[in-house]
Amino acid sequence: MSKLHSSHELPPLKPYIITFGALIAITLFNVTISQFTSGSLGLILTMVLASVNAILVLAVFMGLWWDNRFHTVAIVTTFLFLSLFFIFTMLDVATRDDLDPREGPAFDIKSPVQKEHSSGHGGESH
Amino acid sequence: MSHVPNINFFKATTGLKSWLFTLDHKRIGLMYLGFIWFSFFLGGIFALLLRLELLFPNGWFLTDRQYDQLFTLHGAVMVFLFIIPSIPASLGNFFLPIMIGAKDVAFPRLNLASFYIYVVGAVFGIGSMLIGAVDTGWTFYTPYSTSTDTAVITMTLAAFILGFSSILTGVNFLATVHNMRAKGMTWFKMPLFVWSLYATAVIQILATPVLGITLLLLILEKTINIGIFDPSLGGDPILFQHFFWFYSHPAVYIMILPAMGLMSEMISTFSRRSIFGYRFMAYSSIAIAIIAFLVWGHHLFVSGQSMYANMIFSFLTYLVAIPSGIKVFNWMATMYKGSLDLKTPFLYALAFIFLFTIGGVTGIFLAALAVDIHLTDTYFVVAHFHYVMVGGTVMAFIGGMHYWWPKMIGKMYNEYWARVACFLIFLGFNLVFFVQFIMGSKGMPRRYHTYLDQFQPLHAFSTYGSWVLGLGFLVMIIYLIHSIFYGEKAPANPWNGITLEWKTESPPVLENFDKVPEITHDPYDFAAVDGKKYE
Amino acid sequence: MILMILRQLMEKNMSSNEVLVGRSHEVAHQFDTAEQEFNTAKLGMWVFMAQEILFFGGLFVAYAVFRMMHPDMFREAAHHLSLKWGLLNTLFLLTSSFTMTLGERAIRQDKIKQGIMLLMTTVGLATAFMGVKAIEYAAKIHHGYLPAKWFFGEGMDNSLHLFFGIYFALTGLHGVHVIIGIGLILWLVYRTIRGEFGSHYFLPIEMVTLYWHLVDLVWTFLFPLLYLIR
Ligand SMILES: [Cu+2]
Repeated sequence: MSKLHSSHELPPLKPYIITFGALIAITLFNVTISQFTSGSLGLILTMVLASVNAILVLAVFMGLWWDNRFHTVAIVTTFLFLSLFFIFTMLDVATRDDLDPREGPAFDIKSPVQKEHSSGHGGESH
Repeated sequence: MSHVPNINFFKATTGLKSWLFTLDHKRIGLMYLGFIWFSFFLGGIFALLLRLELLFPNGWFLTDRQYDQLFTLHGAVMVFLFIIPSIPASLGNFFLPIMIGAKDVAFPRLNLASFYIYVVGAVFGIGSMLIGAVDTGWTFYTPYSTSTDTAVITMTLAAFILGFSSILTGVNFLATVHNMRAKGMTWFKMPLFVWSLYATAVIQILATPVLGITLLLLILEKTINIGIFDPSLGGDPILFQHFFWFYSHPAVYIMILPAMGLMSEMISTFSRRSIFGYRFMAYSSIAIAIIAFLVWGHHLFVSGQSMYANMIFSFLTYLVAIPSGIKVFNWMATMYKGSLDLKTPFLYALAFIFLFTIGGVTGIFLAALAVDIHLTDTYFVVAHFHYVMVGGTVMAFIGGMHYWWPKMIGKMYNEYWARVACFLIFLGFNLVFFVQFIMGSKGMPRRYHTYLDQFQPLHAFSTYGSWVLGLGFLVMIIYLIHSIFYGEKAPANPWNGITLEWKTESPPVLENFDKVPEITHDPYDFAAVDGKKYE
Repeated sequence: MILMILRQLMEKNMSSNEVLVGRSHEVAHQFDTAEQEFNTAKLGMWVFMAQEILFFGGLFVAYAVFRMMHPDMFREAAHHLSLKWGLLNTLFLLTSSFTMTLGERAIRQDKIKQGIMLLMTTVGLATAFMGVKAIEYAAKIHHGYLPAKWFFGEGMDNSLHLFFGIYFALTGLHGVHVIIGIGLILWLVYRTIRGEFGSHYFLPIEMVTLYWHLVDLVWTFLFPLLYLIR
């Protein structure tokens, strides 16, 4: 990684043009494959491609490649903390019913007041 | 660059306008200090009223709803208007640049902006009391907060705005610590108060935006029913608690970390010894900031959260004890064989160690899953966090304010009355809250103003204690205000401190130093300054 | 109309030599050098963007939770969004990010006129983005795909309103950021015309450019998560 000597030095133009081309190409590719994939494989592929796009924007357009390393550290830390939020919350939601199962949704958009009384909700059976 | 006159910042310019539009971090810090203590007394009056109502078992002069509103306002005012901005925004603003040898914070205009954002937030918060005070508790849990008809939107908007004030302060401090240090002020020559403000800034920046989005979603929930927190629409109220505590647990460290930094300053100065384990103190501040983000689920143990999440969060919560323990033991080790000078700030520091240890150890009880199920939502929890927040943060804040009062105002306070007030506050605090541990472990639930007759003696004891505590604060405010007008003029260095703030006049000159001092020694290297060994 | 006013303003200012020399920028008193000022401001901006990422991050977590709870509903909901409009908007935003960068480079090289044109192109693309958003919103509103309170859309899944609650929160918040961005860029154009920026001083341009890329960055994730669910 090359670092510029001062903040007033201009990074070269070429990486910007290549990056712009790559961003468009990846976006179009992402749209195309989304038509043929589905389920979790589709989700993973889509997110990987989106992440590549994001990294390109961060590294080139936002100049992290040439910039003070601390800025990279700050942004990586930010994504790490966001992923903590994500992982713990998902952990709860994904395993919430494992030991204490619930049955069926207890709501209905057409009549937003609880209707479990009429539908024989069995949540108290354990 | 214009020439800066060599006069103290009070006299540099005068008039109301020179304060309202000031960009000087010292004036902004003092304005914060005023507003923050105003909020404290507002919240304090609510607390005294709450205790008064609890004197008798069957309710006294408040209705159920009024009592709910009162404890909500007490909590919201104390948390959002007082304790979160307390030390960083007032003492931090004033002393952070001075302690690293800078002329000002990195972004003075942003600093003033965050002050005014705070004021706007305060206006919304206090306004919400007038148009139908909130009765949800300061945590705004859904679904109750989305269905009550009190002024939830105004109060959440206030907390949202105050959050942005806090974020901007954090951004400012972080940039200041990184780029504004004087020549020779390396990272490990920074005073520990600066380290703790740095760690606090990290939390402010990374946690507070989540509070922002949470409250925004709550407002959207109330106005257009987006449904994600509302169980009757398929939403998940526990998700709200995740969102809320992802901010609000780290916020506990926004409250306590700066207090810990102040403790290190006061203990080393008044023991005249280098702080024991300086690097460990610095690292443990950062460690606390990181662990702060891993434990929020301990507030959800009985919410219906997944059992696996409960177990993991319980385990991780124990980890907090490690860096906190490092700090407490290092303070003790610093005092060991030091030449202790029992001035008022140091008395508050001792009070901190005593009370914070009780608060911390009871936190371990609450982190244990099985014990927590019994203690959740009882007075045990109330006592625990008051021991940490009041016994910890407020004690350090008052101590720090006394420590730097001569520097900020340029006047000495009356030492005798200061000790009297310190004694009253320490005594009163313990009278109020110690019995609440007992009540809580016997099952007295929080947030009710009627209770079983058997609790009456303990409740009454607690209420009497609140009068002692209130008297202590009253004495304090009287002699402090008295000192502004009639106090003895303060010397530049009344406590013989050796960090940079003692190398400028009291009060400091406009750009903090006539000439930025050379940094020749570690921040607490008393041996080098005094030219003798303290071992 | 706007372009005409711009041209007039430009001619008025460009006629003097001042714009080429540039007004001297005074370093704020708390800094020792312009370099320190620049680096500090940039650090502050990055840290502020960290804040923005967590602000949006909360909504993404909400999205993930409900997508995990209702995978079929999300699949159905994506069919109610127009991939065509979404892709067009993505291209608009990516291009605007590129023109913004080119504009910044031009001004840093004292090619003021070219820089202003590129900044205005960015504003144009951003406005087009908001226009497409308006068309999309109008279609949703027309068909009743709204948050719960007003939801009357047809759907197989009875939790469809949750998707649109999140959809409007996410795209709405992003849209607000786009509008703020448009305002900031116009402010830059105004100050550039006044001759404040050039190779000697371009700090505010650098800041807004970073902000604008961040807006693009958020959309980079929004587009596949909302439109590309299959
Ligand atoms: Cu906690």
